[in-house]
Amino acid sequence: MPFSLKSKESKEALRAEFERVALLHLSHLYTAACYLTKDKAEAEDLVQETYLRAFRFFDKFEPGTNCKAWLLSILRNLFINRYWKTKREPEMVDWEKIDQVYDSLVEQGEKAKEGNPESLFFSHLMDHEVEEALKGLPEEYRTAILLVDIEELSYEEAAKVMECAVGTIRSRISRGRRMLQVALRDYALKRGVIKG
Amino acid sequence: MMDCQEYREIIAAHVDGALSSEEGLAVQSHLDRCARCTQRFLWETQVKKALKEKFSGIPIIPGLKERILDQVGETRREGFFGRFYTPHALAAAFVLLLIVAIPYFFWEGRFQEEVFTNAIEQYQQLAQGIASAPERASTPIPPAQLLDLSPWGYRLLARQTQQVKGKERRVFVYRGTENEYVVAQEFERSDFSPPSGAGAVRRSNQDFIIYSREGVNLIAWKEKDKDLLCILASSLPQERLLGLAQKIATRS
Repeated sequence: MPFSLKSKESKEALRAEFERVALLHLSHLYTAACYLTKDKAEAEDLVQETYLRAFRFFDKFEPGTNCKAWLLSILRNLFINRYWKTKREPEMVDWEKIDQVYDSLVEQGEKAKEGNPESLFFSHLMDHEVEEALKGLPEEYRTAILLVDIEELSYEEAAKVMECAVGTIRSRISRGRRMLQVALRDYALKRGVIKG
Repeated sequence: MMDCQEYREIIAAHVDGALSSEEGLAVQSHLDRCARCTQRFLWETQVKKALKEKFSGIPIIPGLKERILDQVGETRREGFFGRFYTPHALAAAFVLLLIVAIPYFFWEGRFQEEVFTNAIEQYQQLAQGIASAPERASTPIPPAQLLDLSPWGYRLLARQTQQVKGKERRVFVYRGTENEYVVAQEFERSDFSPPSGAGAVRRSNQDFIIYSREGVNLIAWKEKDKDLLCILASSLPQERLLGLAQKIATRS
């Protein structure tokens, strides 16, 4: 056990260590909680609960490993068990349609200037629109994108957090990004950034 | 030989540099030959770059860090419970406290006080039992009659029998091959109603009640013709725990 729990001094030291190592990632945890719960008050509760649990089990954390990934695992477990069960989202995804729209986007992208991200239609969208589009994805795709693209975890770390195989993460990232692009296209159409 | 459809599924991972060197070479070799997949690869590379710029962190609500620090400061790990504190004992106690609280939901009678008095006694005995489990391996504990999980690789760590309202309740604590705990409880009663928030599922002609709280999954079922309520509690995934319950129920 890396920390002794016997004296008051060591408890204080543990708390200081926890603040230094774990609370450092508060903004990441809060961002993740907002994307998962889609509600700021629930996100705050979830983050507080995550840190309380992390503190209780802090002696299980192995120094030198990715603390952010460890905290995100706790956060997602709590979310799945406590919040999400009551609001399970129906996952009716029309992949045929998504892939069709996605292929048309790729073709349009080819026509735009190669290698210049400014030529992408969603470069002209607002950050909050991209945020909303991601929040609209089904949980498993939303979480995979959140972990890899926002929290910058490796596929292996994301697989541990989501308790699935690395191959599943690959597939969720691939499909999730396609789905996200199609959702962003709808925003762009609405905003008149592109024409249908 | 993979086709374009299959390559499409791993192009994003190739963009992220998340493929093994062999897989990366295979994708690259396909891209050299396939204009359409190359188009997708270039597009995905641009998309990743653009998204990176768009995804910004969400600003924290003011005072959140302070509130967390206050809560952490209030966490008490010493005193009565601190004496028994080990990660294993804590995990088992967590499961156990919950399972002992369950009859409160299941039973119509109000006997909250008794349940919690029993909870503390059970906590003491079982947490001590688990904490010293490896040393007790040479002194086998008699297995359960009905909720015997040993055929599935579970090792009995502790058991307890107690009388509640004149009816017997038996609690067994098992550890599985992956060091996970399962607390199994059987008690005599004639009928029960599920707690609010519980779900029901029917498998192999047997009804199971499913309940989840604080990261602990519970499966309950009534043993046919035996007038026994069986409950399994564990941090195992719900589907695995249900599978185990189903095996026990169909065996008996």
